[in-house]
Amino acid sequence: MPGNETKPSSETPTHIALPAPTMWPMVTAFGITLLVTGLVTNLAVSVVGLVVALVGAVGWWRDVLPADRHEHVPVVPPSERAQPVQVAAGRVEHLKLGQAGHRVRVPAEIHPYSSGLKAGIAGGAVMAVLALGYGLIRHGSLWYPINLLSAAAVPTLATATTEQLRAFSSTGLAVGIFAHGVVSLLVGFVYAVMVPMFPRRGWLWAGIVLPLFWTGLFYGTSKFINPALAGRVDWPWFVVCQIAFGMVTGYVVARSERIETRQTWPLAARIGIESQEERE
Amino acid sequence: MPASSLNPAVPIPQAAAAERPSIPSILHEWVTTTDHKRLGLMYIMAGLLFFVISGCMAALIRVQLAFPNNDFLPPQMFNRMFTMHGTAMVFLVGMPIIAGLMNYLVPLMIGARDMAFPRLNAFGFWIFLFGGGLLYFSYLAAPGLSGAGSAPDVGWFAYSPLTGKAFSRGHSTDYWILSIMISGIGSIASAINVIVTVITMRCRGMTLMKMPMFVWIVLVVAYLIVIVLPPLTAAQIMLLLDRFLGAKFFDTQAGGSAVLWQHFFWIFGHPEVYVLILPGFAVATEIIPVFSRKPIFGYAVMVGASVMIGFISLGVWAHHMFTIGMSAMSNTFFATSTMLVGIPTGIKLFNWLGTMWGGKIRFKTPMLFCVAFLFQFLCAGLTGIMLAVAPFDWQLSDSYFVVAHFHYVLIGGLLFTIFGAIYYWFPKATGKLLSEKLGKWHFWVFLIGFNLTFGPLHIAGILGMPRRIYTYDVGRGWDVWNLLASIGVIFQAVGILFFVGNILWSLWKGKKAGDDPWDAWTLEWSTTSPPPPYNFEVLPEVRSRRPLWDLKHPTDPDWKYE
Amino acid sequence: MGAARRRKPKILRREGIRAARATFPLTQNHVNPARISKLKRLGLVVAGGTGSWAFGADSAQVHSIANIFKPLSAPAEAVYEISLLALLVCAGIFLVVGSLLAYAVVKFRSRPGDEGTEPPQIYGSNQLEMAWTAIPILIVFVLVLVTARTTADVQNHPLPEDSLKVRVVGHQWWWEIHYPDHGVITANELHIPVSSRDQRRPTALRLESADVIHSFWVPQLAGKTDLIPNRANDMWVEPYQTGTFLGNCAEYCGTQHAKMLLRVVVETPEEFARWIASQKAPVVQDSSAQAGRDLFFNTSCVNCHRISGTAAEGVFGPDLTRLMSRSTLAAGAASNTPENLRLWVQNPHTIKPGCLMPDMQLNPAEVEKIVAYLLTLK
Repeated sequence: MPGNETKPSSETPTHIALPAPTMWPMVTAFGITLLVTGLVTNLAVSVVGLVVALVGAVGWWRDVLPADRHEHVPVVPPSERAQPVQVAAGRVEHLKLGQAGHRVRVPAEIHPYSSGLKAGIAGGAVMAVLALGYGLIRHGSLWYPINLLSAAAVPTLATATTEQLRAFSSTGLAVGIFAHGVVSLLVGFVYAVMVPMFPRRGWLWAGIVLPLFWTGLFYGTSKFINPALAGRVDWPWFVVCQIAFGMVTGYVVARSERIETRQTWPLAARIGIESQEERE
Repeated sequence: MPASSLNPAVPIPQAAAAERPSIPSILHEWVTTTDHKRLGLMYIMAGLLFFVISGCMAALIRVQLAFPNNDFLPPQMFNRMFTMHGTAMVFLVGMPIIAGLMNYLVPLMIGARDMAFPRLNAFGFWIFLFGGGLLYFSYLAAPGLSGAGSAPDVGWFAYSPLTGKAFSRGHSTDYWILSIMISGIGSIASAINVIVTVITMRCRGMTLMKMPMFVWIVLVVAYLIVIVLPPLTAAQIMLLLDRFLGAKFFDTQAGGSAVLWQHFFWIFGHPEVYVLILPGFAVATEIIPVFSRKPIFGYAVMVGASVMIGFISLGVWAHHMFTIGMSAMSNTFFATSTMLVGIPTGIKLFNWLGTMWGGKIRFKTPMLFCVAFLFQFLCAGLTGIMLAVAPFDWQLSDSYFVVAHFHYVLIGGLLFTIFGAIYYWFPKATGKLLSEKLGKWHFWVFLIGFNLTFGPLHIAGILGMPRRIYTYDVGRGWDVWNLLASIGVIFQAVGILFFVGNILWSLWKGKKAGDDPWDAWTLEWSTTSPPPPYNFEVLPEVRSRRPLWDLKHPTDPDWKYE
Repeated sequence: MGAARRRKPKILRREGIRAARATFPLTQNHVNPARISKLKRLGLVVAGGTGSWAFGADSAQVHSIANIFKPLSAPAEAVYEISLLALLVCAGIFLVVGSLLAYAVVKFRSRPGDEGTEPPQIYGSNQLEMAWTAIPILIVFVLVLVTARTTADVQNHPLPEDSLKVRVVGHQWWWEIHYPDHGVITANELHIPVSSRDQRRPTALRLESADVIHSFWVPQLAGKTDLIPNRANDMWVEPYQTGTFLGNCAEYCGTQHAKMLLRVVVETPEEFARWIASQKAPVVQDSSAQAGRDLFFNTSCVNCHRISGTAAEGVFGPDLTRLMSRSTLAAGAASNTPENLRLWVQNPHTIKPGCLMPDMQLNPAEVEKIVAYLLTLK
């Protein structure tokens, strides 16, 4: 049985040793308090405090040296002890997953987290290519979209003219790659854990609904998040880039093989125990 | 405790059990006790006493601010009030009640007979109590030799150089330093005790990942206390040297640094906020599962989040200092680290939500307090994110918005869970249930009062009202919000009266609790209420996080699935 | 703050009654009922769009409600934008999480007949936990980017070479204000020019402290910056609108922290130039107050106060050279009327208890003389 609180009383001791009551810690504490109080009242108080603290400390030492002082507390008679824990009369409801292990962490099968990271990289790459393509076609500059993205964090780019945005900026490049990378990886990760949660038509959710949802969020707040981008953004291109990201990321996640989580395994299986096989 | 028959044993006065003990003997028993349960209760009672005192001070503050140009309190008395209110609420109310809960519950929850260092435990309590007494003694004695001042009036974070000899004459600031310093010794003692107890004294079968969440979180709290109190003590000693021996650490007129104090103080002060709120989380993480009838959702992640909060909170202190003119880079760094704390905190909130989801929630008083905690802490967390955005903080810092924010943390978060904890564990400690009816009155009246007081103060802050002003003029748009806040205090006071009345009435006539009134799952509910001095006749052995669940549901035990 | 805006006229109307109840006639806000409609109109203009460069408005206009969500200056507006973003994000989170919580509380409450059954025991879900870790990280990441930009934008903002430079020194409990380029010293009321679309006129403030830490906070002009002894901090403002802006010391600085108020008078460039010129003009000796003048220079007033061009060169108290050009006394503690001035000279502690100006123990006749002299300092 788990827990042995219910063991028969014959095994309980008659007395239990506990530390004996003592006043010395209190005396020591009082002495120390007086000691510092002397600083703000009168030195005599400090002197008294020092003496009291020393007396308390010596008393305390004698409590524990050479051996702890104990008292043996008698155990209360069985009638006054805690009642043994009763088996609950009620019923426990169970999740119905159509499988044997009835109390599990859900879900039992997941896309590996690494698939999310891969998907994020793939989606981010496709999106970057599209965005750079836009920059080349519309503005004749690879740097333009990168600088626009970085303008969220870099004040000089946020106030730059379009001409300056077309020029190369090392800060812009670094911040842009960093920001785009972090966001792509995180969204890929979220896809990996959430794609299985969607009802049917995962591609619709991953590829269309979610990208449109965050595009909407960004549309509402772009003025604050990235005013430079908000003033120049070409929304059709922007939406196309987001959808491309969603499609690719969702596809990569969905293609990955689902793996079973070990949490449904019994402990013995998880720790890889070697034993004789149970025979029915 | 290793019990060896070689050790000297104190004989137990057998007569005491037979006849009714006299009052001095009861007093003697409590004063000399090393029992973690009695010390825990004394911590909590002392904390509640200081709570009532500094609560009254808060009420006086609100009376003064109810109307513009009010002259209910003279300026200096007002300044002393808010200093004493803040200092006492943090160091003499929050810390000891937390220490009390830790002391009372940790050995019971891990199946031990006492704390690892019972005498150190007693020492910790007494030095905290004397330290607290010393702080209030300043009201009588602080004129000191030079005749100026009374209680401290430098604010609870005592910014230098206002605390220097030149601007704070007399001894009031010294009282603040010394009393906090020696109370701090108590906190450190208590924290070390908790760490050692949890690491070494868990019952058989209780691995770290099978500890109740409460124990996990207070373990993190204890580590935080040990890490962050020394910087405060160091700074206080430096300040003492400045004031007594003419050192020049913070003396700006002699080339010292005012900002140095702020760094020291907030390296302590911000983690201190987590020291105060994490035990609130710990309580909620025990109560919410029991009343939702489900295990805590995502135990491992909750443990991870608690540890992460502990770590990250050590690196966010300068968000209290966004206005001192740090470089843009430093401001951004501390804004980032502060927002990062929001992530583990958010995880916790979601996991509590996950715990309630799909449960069968019983709305007993402890659970009511925890549900209110969830909503109010959500508000507090979100206003915290706003304050973390450095430019927003340039506006909000030191305004009433901040006051409202941290009262949502400390009352809406901590105090509500402390009330929940008291309603939940009172039956264990006394054997009597608290009245549900009075409890519900207490809850609703206090809930209304609290939100009425601190909700409007957010708006006062947004309208530019700085904190710590003893009066304000008409026409700044602050009057309505301040009046509302002051009206809220009446409700809060009535709520507290219900609470005190409930405790007294229930001690006298409360229903008998029995061993396990809430049908709960952790070890403290397997012993009697109140538990015997030795806690358990036989030390228990556990196989899962919910040992009592295993016993109650032998066909569905947890240990099969953990 | 829609609610606050709707309430504004009401508050102003009530002000008269409140003022009468006040201990002293401290009506520092020169708002009379006739101006209410104008204020209201202005409030609507402001609300309609920040950055509405309502140039040329009445410079006597007092912006008495210092709402941080109605910025009227460039740095305050930069802060306002990120504040609005943070507010939106937090409100969104609050709505989502709050309604989930409310739903759970209502939906999963135990119902009669539930006794004895336990719900399914669910330990967690790695998927969900990962999701609600990663999504907040994304939100935080976006906020961090914007915070980085705004912080650097406001703090490292390049100001034009010819922008006005002002040095503000905090004292317990008043503000010393220097215009080093103009050689003007004043106190408690900062005059600066308004900016316009075609001509930026930002003001660079250098903040220092003579004693303890103070904080310069005029919410509609900029976020606060501390004045720290032994350290010089910089901030800047660039108001779009004329008028008087109110602010407070925002760092607790001792007994009279509450009455360390700030007034920033934003004027048209012409008005500002006139003001500077009037401050710089040599002090005219008014012979009618000769007795008071003698008394002033024979008591210890001169140890602390400065009157330009005289032997009074104290630095511990506010400069009195143009005392009567200021609209308030004692850092906004009272409006600058002869009656208040008399009260103040008689015993400063009736108006500002605990302030560092001592009660000079003057008899009524002496008070009259001193006040008569002070009234000539225009």
